[in-house]
Amino acid sequence: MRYRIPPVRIAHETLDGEVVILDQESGTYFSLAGAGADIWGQFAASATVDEVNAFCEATFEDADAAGMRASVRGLCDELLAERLIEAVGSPSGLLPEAVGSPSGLLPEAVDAAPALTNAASAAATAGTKRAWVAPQLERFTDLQTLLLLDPIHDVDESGWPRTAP
Amino acid sequence: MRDLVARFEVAERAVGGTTVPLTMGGRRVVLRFAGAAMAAKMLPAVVHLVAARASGAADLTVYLWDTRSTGVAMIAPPWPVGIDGVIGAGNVIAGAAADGLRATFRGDNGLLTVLDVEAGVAVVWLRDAAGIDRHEAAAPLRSQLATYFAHHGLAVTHGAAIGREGRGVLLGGRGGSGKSTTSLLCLEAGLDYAGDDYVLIDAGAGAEARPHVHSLYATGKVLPNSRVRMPEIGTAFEDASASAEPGDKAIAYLGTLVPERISRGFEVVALLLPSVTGRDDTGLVPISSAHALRGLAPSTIFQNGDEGPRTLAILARLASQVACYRLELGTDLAQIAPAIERLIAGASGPGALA
Repeated sequence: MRYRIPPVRIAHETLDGEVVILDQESGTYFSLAGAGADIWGQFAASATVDEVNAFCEATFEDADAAGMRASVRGLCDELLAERLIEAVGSPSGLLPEAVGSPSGLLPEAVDAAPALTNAASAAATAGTKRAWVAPQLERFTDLQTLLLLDPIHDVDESGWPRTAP
Repeated sequence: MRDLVARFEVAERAVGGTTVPLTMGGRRVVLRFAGAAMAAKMLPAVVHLVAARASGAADLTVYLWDTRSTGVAMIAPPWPVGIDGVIGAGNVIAGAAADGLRATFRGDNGLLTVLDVEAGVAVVWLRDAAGIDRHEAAAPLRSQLATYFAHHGLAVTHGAAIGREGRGVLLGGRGGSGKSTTSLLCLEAGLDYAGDDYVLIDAGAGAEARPHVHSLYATGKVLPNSRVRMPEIGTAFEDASASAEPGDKAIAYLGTLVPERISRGFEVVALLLPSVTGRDDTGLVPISSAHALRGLAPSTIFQNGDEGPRTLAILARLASQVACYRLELGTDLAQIAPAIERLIAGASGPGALA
């Protein structure tokens, strides 16, 4: 199963090896650093969990491959639970029409995944593997009140909603 | 949109109109008011941006009127707005998007805005201009400008900006972190002031681009206990505090009080996240650009309502171009402005003072 970042609702940018992720519906924001930012980039490029595992094994030094795979699966599950990624083809995950896209707005094309695998292979071949540290998704909820909605119930004779008393 | 503008024109013919050309973010923004009620609410915060004379075609024209003072009602809504669920995050009316428009309706004060980004036209209406509260008046049209400028590569940003001789710093972070107090103390100390709450960021394009901040609103907001520390401008808050709710910030319109100290903008050389420490001394601690982005972007984007990906990309570019620090605010307030002034004088690029 391939995954992708939900367009529009989720904004994300990567700087200094850390990705900052904003959920514009919930007002929650997140941070992923180190291997987590790399894994995020893989999901953003529509990778499968198996492809992410292959990428990690080619990119990071770790004697415990099973532990690494468990970490990738765990992070994937956490990202799904937080609705930061979604399965491609899911009801809410239909690929949108192509539009002018700022950085991070839309995922790469689905067929981008093989290129990532090649990049990981190149890293492995060059002997530049990095130390593996299990990724941690940091979650921040301190700004959720900025998104509180003001529900509108009634309209007046003009057709426009009545304002709050 | 044509029908909406036609209603404005009826109101303008009924009570007369006022046209005010502004320069915002290097663009020509023209406000057209029918009657005086809306102008009285919307203009004080942007009076420092009034262009000396209207020249050339407007990039964005905004038509504003209210029914109470003009007697002209709005047309019936062409989109469903009266049931739960059709007005979403940022008060956006979902149905307007099908017409290529971005429309919002605020349930608390009844402010309707409709924006056509491509055409550079916006309409603003409400039943009674008295519904524009003090916070809306302090940052008029913020959400609409955020959408408009995001489509032109600039970000309306929740932050303060202080400068000196064409260079300055952006202070970001959530409300209560110390942005306003810091920037007003710097204004008192003689630095240039471009805003204490919302400013416009142009991160530029290309390798040689230098990020720039543009002023949007020449207002200042402080809690009552801060005013005593600002002898020059503190009196401006005395009148303003009369209209503030208990515990709420007083708002002063600095564009009329100290116009010579209000800057239209400057190059950004550093991004600061202030925090109150309780210690005596003020200090600057280098932080990563990702850390700075995490402090700056969420409160900006969650308030703007939409255009998050575009805005985040602009702010990420800014954070990657300038030095980033945590500004640890001490209780000895006399240290704060000099610390920022030294930073502005010494910074020349990312990590220059790290």
